[in-house]
Parts: sequence; structure tokens; C-alpha cells
Amino acid sequence: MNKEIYELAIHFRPFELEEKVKELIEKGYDPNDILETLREALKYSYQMYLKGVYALPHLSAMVATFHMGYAVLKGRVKPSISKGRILMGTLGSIHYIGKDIIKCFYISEGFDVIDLGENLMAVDFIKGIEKYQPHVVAISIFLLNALGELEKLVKYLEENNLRRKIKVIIGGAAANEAIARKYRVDGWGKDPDSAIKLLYNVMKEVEKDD
Amino acid sequence: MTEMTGLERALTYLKGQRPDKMPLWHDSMYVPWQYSGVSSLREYVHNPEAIARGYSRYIEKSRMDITGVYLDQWALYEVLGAEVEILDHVVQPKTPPWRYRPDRKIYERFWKVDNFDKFDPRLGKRANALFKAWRILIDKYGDKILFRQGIPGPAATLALVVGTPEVLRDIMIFPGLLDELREILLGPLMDWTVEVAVMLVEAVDYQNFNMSFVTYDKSFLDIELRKWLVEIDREFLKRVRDRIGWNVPITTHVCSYDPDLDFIFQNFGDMVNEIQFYAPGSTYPLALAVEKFGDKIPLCAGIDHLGTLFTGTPQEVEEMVKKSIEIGKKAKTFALGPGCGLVMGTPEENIKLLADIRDKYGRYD
Repeated sequence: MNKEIYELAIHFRPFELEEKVKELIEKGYDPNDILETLREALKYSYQMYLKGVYALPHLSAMVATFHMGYAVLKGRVKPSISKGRILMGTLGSIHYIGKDIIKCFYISEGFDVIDLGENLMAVDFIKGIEKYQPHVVAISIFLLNALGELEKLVKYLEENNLRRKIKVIIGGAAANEAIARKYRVDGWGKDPDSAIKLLYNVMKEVEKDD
Repeated sequence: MTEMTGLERALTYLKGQRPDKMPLWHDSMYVPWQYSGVSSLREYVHNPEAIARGYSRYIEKSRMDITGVYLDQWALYEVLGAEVEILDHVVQPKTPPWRYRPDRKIYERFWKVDNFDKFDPRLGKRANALFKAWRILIDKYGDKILFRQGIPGPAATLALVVGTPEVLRDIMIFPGLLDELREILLGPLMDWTVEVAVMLVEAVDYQNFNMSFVTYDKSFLDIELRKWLVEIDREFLKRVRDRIGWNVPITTHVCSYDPDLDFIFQNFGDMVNEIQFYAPGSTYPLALAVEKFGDKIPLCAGIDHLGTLFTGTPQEVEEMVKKSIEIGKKAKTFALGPGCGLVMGTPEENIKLLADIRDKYGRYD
């Protein structure tokens, strides 16, 4: 773990951190070690969140810091243990903060995460599935206006016999158990902790080709 | 007791008394749009007649006592630079460049907004349509039901213009920003927001002012930031009260998932006429709220709009509302309501059922 990077991260100093990461990379520092450091900082922030000391502003700042550091590292690090490939995105709206928080956790847990972004419809997820062949599709739902698109996506997976190979999980402000049941998805997470546990659980059920 | 009008019922409740039966509140942006006969959301949000038509049908079908007429949350802020994109199913803010790279300069614009002639919200196209729709609906229903009407305080206003996640992030990463924002929020943006608040109260013929406390959520802001915000929001409410007087009730909106109701009551209970919040559905049980505040302030809750109302059968909806009414009857006065606006796709039969169930179980006499 790199102490300087860790200190900059836990004090939410993204600009300085970005410069430091560039400097370290130029000097030949191991990018995987920097990612591991960012992971530790993320975990620290989340522990503080669980204790009620931190709230959304801290997590938002942590995510921005993580992202700015990870942007320099991306392409230089590979997930050390490929635990699974996760396709993520926000269904039908611009909301991103919850999705980005969970994304950082999934990356830091060592999953291979592909973020399709926001404002996604079923067709966008389907294109993503065809291109990346994920094990899990993790969908953030903040508004329910586009839930018909979730139905379309699940139907596509069912009709193409992909439900055993690809699990679908949901999260976000408008996700709940009733919606998970109604739309036949494999689970829902209400916070980072449950989202991580849920991912590990559904990964056990994925029928893998590879 | 003789049958009251919805407006009488709502005002009796807001005075802390029991009306003939529990008032029923709900509102929605998207359900009235679906009733408006205009399929394009882009056209709808700029058409006051269509907005008024959609809400008229929604009111007639649903028989609620309290509603609210609105479009997206950013309509009043177009004039401050809040840009939206209008898709087929949603109006939402455009992704700003500062989402990807924080930029402290974005807050400078707020120093100038007290020039009200230049920043009159009615100069915005959607806001202009809204003001016209309000007039049509108040003329038609203003003596029958209560229209909740309001604007969040200056802090929430700033967050909606710039982007809430970005403001939350920026106050952590830019040293000194919080102090600068305090000056803006107690200065020019306070002046602007109070002016708009009074304008909105006038638009509903002084029926009420609605104040949002959605940010007082334990997962949203830590306790220090919640305390910091109290100074801003109390000053805002004080200045609104100075302008509208104490005879105009202040209704509230707390559509959070982890609301700090104790904190809200402790800090604002003396300034508002009710506490509306989300239960069942949030982390704060309705029974606990009734036990703690039910003898002190009117409470509005009882409908899980994202769960049972959206996905449940009519029987499940009846069960939920009946149970909420039983709990609510232990309060000195109680209104039925969801946590937030009803979402697109909520079954019409479930919505219509709410008034029937209230009539069946929610009478006080």
C-alpha cells in the first residue's frame, strides 16, 4: 500500500492524487498496488459511513477521488483475480451516484466491471450483453418510469435461454423487494454492503462456460 | 358531522384538529401527463392547457383532498441556468461537464441572482406554462381542494441547479467552499428563493406554502451538515413567514428513505403545520412517529407508493391503508399520503381505491 496515495484519498484530494498517481506510474510504481491502496481508502470511507460518521457527501467525494485516480490506472491494471464480469448501468435516467459508488466497490473487490453509463434502455443493456458477455447485469433504478424496459431485458434473457448464465440484480432508490419479485430479477441491494453480498451470492449461481 | 369539502378537511387537519375524515393527499407529475391526451412529454411540459387538463382528470378520478401541480423539479430554475433534457419518459438535468471534473467556478453565478427582474422564474418556458396551469386549476378547484405549493430552501435550490451529487462532493473536496456557500445561501440566493416562495403562495391564492426537508436524511447528510443546514432553512422559513404571515399553513415534504424526523421536528416543529413523510417504505415506522409526535403535530403518511401501491393487488392496497389508518387514528389528527409523487405505471385502480378505503375506514365521526 502506498501511504501518500492513501492519505490523499481518505482526505478527498482528487487533484493532488491524480498528479501523484501519474508521477508514481512514470517512476515505474506497480499500478496494482495503487489500485489496492485506493481500495483500502474506499473501504475506510465505507466503514465510516456504516458507523454513521460519513454520509453521501463523503462517499461522493471518495468516488470522485477513486475515479480520478483510477482513470490514470485504467488499462495498466487488470483485475488481479477475475471473479466475474459485471455489466452496470442506470435504467432510464441520469442518476449515477449510487451506481458509481457500487461500481467502485465492485472494482475494488476485483470484479471486471463494465459501466455502460446512464439513461439506458433495454436495447442498450442487450447490446452490452452481446458485446461483453457478462456474468451479472447490475442495474441501478432511481425512477420507475422506465420499468417496462426492465421487463424487456429480462424477457430477452429468458427467450434466449440466458437466465442461468447471466444473473440480473437491481439497486438504487426505487428498487425494492416487490419490484425485484415482480420483474423476476435475481436480487436487490439497498446499500453497498448488501450489493457486495448479493453479487457474491448470485455469482455462485451463474452457470459458467469459461 | 356534515361532509366537508376537501379544502375544509385539509385546513382543519393543518390546524391540528380532526376533520370529518382523514384528508387524502397525493400528487404526481407523470400520471396527469398520461391523462392529458398529449403523448409527447416535450409538448406537455410547455402546454398549460394540457397540464391543467391532465391534472383535472387526475383530480376527478382520484378524489383526493390535497394535491400539487408540478412538472420536473428544475422548471423554476431554468432562469438560473438549470438545463434539462426531455426524453420520451422523463425530464431530467443534462449531465454537466463538472460531473467528471470538479470545478469550483460553477458557484460564482449565484452571487448575482438577487437581480430578480433578470432572474424571474416565469421567464423560463416550463415555469411560465406552470404558472398559467396553476391559475386555471385554482380557478376551477381552489374552493374544493388544497394545492400544495412550494420551493425548497436556498441550499436545495443551489443543489438542484448545479447538481446534487456534485455539490455534495465539492463541499468535501474544495477547502473553504462551505463557508462561501453559506454567504451565498444567506445572501443573494436567500433573497431570490424567498421572492419565488411568495410568488408561489400567491399562485395558489395563499392556500399554503410547502417546505421540503428531504435533505434531512441520515444517509444523505451527516449530523454536522444537517446542523449547518438548519441555520439556512430556518432563516428561509422565518423570512417566508414574515411575508406570508402565520395564517397561511406550511405543509412539508420529507420523501427520504432514512429520514431524521426527530431532528426535523426538533428544529422546525415550531414553524410548520404538519410533518409529511414516507412510511411504510422508509426506515422510520409510522407507529413510532405517531407515538413520538402524534400528539404534537399533524402527521401525513401511510401509503407506500413505490411498493404496495405500485406493485400490489387492490386487496394488498386496502390492507396497507387500513393498517395505516388504524395507526393514524392514535394521532390527534392524521392525513393519508405517499412518500412522494406517484410514479408512472401505478395501476389506476389502486390510485382510485385510496379514496374509497379512506371513506370506509378513515372517518372520525
